[in-house]
Amino acid sequence: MKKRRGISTTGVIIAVVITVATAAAVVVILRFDPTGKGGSGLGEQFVYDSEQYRKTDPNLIHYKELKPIETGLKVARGIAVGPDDAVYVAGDRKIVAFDRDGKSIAEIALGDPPQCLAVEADGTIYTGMIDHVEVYSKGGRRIAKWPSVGDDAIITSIALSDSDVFVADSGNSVVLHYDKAGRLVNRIGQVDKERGIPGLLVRKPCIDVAVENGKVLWVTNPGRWRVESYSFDGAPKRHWGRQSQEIEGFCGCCNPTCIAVLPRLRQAQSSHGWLITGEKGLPRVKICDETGCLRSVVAGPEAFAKGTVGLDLTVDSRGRVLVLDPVAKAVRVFVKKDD
Amino acid sequence: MSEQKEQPDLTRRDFIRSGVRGALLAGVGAATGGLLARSRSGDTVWQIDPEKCIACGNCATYCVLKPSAVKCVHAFGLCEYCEKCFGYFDLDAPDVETGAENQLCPTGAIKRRLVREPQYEYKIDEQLCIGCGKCVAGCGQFGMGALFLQVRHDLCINCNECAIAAACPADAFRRVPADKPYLLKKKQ
Repeated sequence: MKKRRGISTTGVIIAVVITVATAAAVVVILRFDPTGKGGSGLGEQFVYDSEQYRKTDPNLIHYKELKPIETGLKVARGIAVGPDDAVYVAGDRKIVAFDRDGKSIAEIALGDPPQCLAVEADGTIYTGMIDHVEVYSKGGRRIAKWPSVGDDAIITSIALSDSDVFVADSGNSVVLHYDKAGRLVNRIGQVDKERGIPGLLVRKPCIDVAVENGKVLWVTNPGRWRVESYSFDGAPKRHWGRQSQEIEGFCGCCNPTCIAVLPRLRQAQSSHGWLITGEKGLPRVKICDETGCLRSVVAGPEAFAKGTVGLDLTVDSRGRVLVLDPVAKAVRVFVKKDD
Repeated sequence: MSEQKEQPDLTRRDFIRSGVRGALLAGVGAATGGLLARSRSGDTVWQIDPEKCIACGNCATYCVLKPSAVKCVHAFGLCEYCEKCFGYFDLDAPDVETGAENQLCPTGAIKRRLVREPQYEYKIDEQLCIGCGKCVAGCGQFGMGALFLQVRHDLCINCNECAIAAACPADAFRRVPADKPYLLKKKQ
């Protein structure tokens, strides 16, 4: 009698093993991604995501952007407004100037790379090199070279009043107050417990200074996420600001990095200055009133390239906010939407 | 009709003996191959160019080692010892309390200690770091970029074809001389 051939248990096991192995191999092959295009495969908790803060509520943005002014610089560091709303930009080893419509009007060659500048009403230019100040006439002739502030100095900003020059030295966390002849008058912002001054706390060299109505000095204190005002003798007046990623605060570990005083024509009957502030990390420019309350966003993070660091800003007599964008190497021009 | 030679039966002992012989041969071959490969790549090792790295996270998962041979390192010379370090604190952390819920590192690999008010020192616990680069992204965006990723050569087995290098979207992996195996960040 012929023996009937059946399916043995061993055969079934082998078949199952082969099937499972084949399926596993197919899965592995399909999932294999030697190029990394599929991403790391890490969970959400391993991913750094700041995108939510790169979007600004459109209702807060009261400014629109006009055509930018291309500076033609490889490295653009500082911006200032001069007579007739001419725009001066320091960078590379020169100062370039444009009329209010963006037409090039002057170029001054410098011996060293400038970090910042300020321009008098008569066109005299004060430019900060790393460790000293140089003064140029409107025509571009060097009038004076002030002595070095010191080996550790990193000059990051200059502001002017009728008879004073304020030089922010981020390397030494102090604002140096000079007269127009370059004589040191006093030091502002240093730790002074008796006067209640905690001192300027600087991470990246980014202390900025601005003068309000020729009477009050405003200084950024980025490590404390605030701006502080001083009288010219160094007495502290007011301060405001707080750390927050939200648009109402100053983001990251150290902000704001730049300030400018908004001209009175843009203020609603305020007796004190409203400030325009610029930040890094989440690059954004906004306007706050004398109490630090957010009044308007000029440009949110979405207006700048990711990773933009080193914004500088100023404002002209018409209230146009001029932002020096070091990534675009251009002066970005913002005006009120209702203008 | 030719007479067929009778094949001797393969005993279990013969089978084991030939198996061992084969395994030994394979082992010697593998060792020789390994040595040859090592001698070919012996002058150079893999490293990450921190200026190109985008902290994408691929280093954590594409390395053949688990956990990865890539770790976060800290350039103390660059660090500003921030009170609120965004390599340490979560982006949404409401304050500077160091509770786990406020920390950015998912594995708790960054330790902080007060140096002098308000400055803090941050150190990486390499046993806990998996090289995901989350802290690198945070420090890079808001801080000085003092945290960055490097291949640790006490861990790396220096594969000829590095799986992370192949998967790096920023082309940040490159071979460097073995006597200068690290690409450190410097103050700009």
